Amino acid sequence: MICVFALGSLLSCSKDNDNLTVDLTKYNPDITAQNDVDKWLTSNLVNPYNIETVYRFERNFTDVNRDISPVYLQQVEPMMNAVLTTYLQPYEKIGGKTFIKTYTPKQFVLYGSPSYNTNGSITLGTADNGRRIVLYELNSLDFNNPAAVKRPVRTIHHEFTHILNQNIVIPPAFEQISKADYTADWTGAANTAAVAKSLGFVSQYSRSSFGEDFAEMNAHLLVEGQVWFDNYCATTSPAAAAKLREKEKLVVSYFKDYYNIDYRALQAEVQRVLKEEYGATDPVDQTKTFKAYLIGNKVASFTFNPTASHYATYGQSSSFQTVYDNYKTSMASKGWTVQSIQFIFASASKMTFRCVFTSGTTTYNADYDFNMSVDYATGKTQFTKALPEGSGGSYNNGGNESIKPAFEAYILPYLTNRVFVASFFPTAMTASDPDFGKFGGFYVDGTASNYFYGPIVLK
Amino acid sequence: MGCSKEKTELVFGEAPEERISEELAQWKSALVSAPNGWIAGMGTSAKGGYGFYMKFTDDDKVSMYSDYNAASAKTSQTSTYRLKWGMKGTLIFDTYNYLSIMQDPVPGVAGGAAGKGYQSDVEFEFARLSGDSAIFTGKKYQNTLVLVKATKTQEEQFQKGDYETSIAKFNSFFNTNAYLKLSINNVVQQVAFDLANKSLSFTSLQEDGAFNAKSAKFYYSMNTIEILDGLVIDNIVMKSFSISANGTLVALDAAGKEYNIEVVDKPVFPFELYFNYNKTYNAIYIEGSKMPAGVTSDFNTLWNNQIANYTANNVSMISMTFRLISSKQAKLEVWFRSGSTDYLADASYDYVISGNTIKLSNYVPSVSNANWNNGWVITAIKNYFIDAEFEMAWVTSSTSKSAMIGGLIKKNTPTSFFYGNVKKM
Repeated sequence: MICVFALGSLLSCSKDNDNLTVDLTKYNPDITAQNDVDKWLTSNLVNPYNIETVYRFERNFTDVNRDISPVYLQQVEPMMNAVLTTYLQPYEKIGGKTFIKTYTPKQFVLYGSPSYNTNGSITLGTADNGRRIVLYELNSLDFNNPAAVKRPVRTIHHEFTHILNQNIVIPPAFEQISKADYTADWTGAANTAAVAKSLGFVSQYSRSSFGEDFAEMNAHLLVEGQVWFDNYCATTSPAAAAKLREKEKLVVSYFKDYYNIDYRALQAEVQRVLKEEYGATDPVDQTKTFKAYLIGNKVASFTFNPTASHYATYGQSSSFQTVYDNYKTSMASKGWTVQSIQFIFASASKMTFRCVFTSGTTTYNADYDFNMSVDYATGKTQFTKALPEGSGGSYNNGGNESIKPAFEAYILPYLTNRVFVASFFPTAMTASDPDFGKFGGFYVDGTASNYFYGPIVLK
Repeated sequence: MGCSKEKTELVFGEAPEERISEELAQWKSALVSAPNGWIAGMGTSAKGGYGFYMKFTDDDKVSMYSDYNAASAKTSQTSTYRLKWGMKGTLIFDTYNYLSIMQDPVPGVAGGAAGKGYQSDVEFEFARLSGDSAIFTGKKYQNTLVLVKATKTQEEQFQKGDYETSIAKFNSFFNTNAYLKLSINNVVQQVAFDLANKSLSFTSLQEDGAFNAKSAKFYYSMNTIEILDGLVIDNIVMKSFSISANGTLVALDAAGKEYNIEVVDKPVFPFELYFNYNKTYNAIYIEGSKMPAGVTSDFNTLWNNQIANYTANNVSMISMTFRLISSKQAKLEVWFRSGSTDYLADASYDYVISGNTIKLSNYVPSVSNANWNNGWVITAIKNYFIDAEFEMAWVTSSTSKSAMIGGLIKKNTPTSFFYGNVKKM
């Protein structure tokens, strides 16, 4: 062996490789001129963050089989400015320079049209290997329309979440929350937005996997904002809302625990930029409704006392007044003077009706328990009598032979034979009124003139 | 003992990157050095041809006009371009411009198919530089993009907005003059322009009686219409059309020879070549209560009487159709409306076609129901068709040069003919 090797090395010649070496000074760059957009990109993205923007049509960064249009030159700077202000700068401000420079993708690729999938859907963005984000459909993007701007911004935040997750994995607890409901067929007809919502997902796409769910949660919380998310939770079933809240909690703690980022500050910063620079506005707060208060177990009680001045100001239902007067008259025939009635909410599903009455100078309470169900979507509320009655002095009063018949004759049938709707009063009052949200109560579903309400006492 | 090998031989003389560099530089300098820019024509796979004016500058910018619509014909738009080496040298229109409209996969932009557009490219591979032309081939759809150097005058015309007027002039010519004919090598050709699809066709009659149709995509240049890639008719390459000073249309072949085009008021080839149960058309029909305008025939009186009869009975005419339903049977079908219900009255005939005559026999009234016999078609019209012998011919209208009206002329009575629009049913 050694012999052969020696022979080989003796005979070997030194080959001239000059012609096989490519002289890189003669390499052919295809982009030969810097225009104004290039200059802006250099000073705002290349120099500070080492981020390249490929906006001049490059087939190899997308699906070569598809027809995808180039982006309009004039859309490049507004889009990348949005990347800078709604994504890079908020993270830089809250998470620090090192954080954003370390983790941000280094290449953004822009296309003018969407990428059409074979199933008829379109792709709006992709992220590759934590290095590249590809954004589509930018030609039709109107930067004066905040809802339109939010879409690519959400895509960027979504994709960036994946990059963070590739560096530090999603806490295992997150996967468990909706484990049974993830499906590969998330684009299927069965997975409507309403279905996804009712299962506790922030979007249809969230259902595809817990990784996408996490990214969608983060993107929606940052870009759509907390008011939007609170509304979303308030308008779905309590079970779904609980899942969404649990996911929200884990997203917030993920950023704090692993990246030491104050998530609420980050969210506020993204929202501030969207509002100040793109004219975004918070949606109408749908959590400020009486039904949401009841479902959220925020209400302690409200009192109906017809002599109170607010009934003169905001109106009084003659239908209900008749019920009350009949009750009062019946009680009076036994020597009890009814002063007021109270609706006390021990929980989101329990209501106690209390009659406050006097005999001479002594004041007594008579209590009766009801089960309560409030529909989260419509606010429709039904009461059923809860038995057995509670124990204690007030319940004993309620059971007294001289007190109970009046309740059973007038109050019990009124409350249990109707479907009510939980609402603030007066129902037409707008959120700008200083008295908005002060009075709550119920009107009979379909008969808006039959109602009762009182000043809300919160827990 | 060791070898002393010579330098590796370069088969093509220079290293690949040097040769690439030379070719890119050659094309770039060609594009940029055209002092007055280029007039360009491009084909698409799903639609016709599109014309452009382009001016390339050294800083990777290109400004454009296009014949896509009126606005693009008079408003210049600037985008970037670059030359890149792939499998071949490639010209890429790499930000959005008029040329991207044809490629745009969004149906809302130009009405193309979702995900496909007009099936066109924004990347074009170098084919060849020859004389005043630069020729490219679309990278994916392989359609030609041809650039021809513009003159100083042409550049000024584009800047003044003359492109739009030039296009409008052609379009109004074709909208009023539908039937065009010319002779190439003594063979009569009918020329037809499809303005919506930017394509045209030359049709001649073969000895066996069949049509020979050849079509091509066209685009608008300044004051001319250019046939993309040319169209070979009997070994002559037809290239373009222009409108002469006296308002006539002139065709030009590759050798520069002019062909005068004659405007005719009805299709060039006889009606009988188109009309049979298995040919281009098999039905002559009248829709509504009015016959095609601008035609004088004895049948007009019969029609008016029929309409008057309907009016008197509170019904209205939907359509009257004479059609050849099989190789031997024809039908006359009259649809009319009473209230909101449509009714049919029909009769059938046997027919024999010989040359340009059609002879009806074996009249069977009330084929589908009793309406025919119950007076819903007036006797004069019934009698008009019973055992009748007609000559088939195109009918001209005094008010329209684009109407396509087929007629059945009563044998030996040239002033009496049934007529209507034609279709295949």
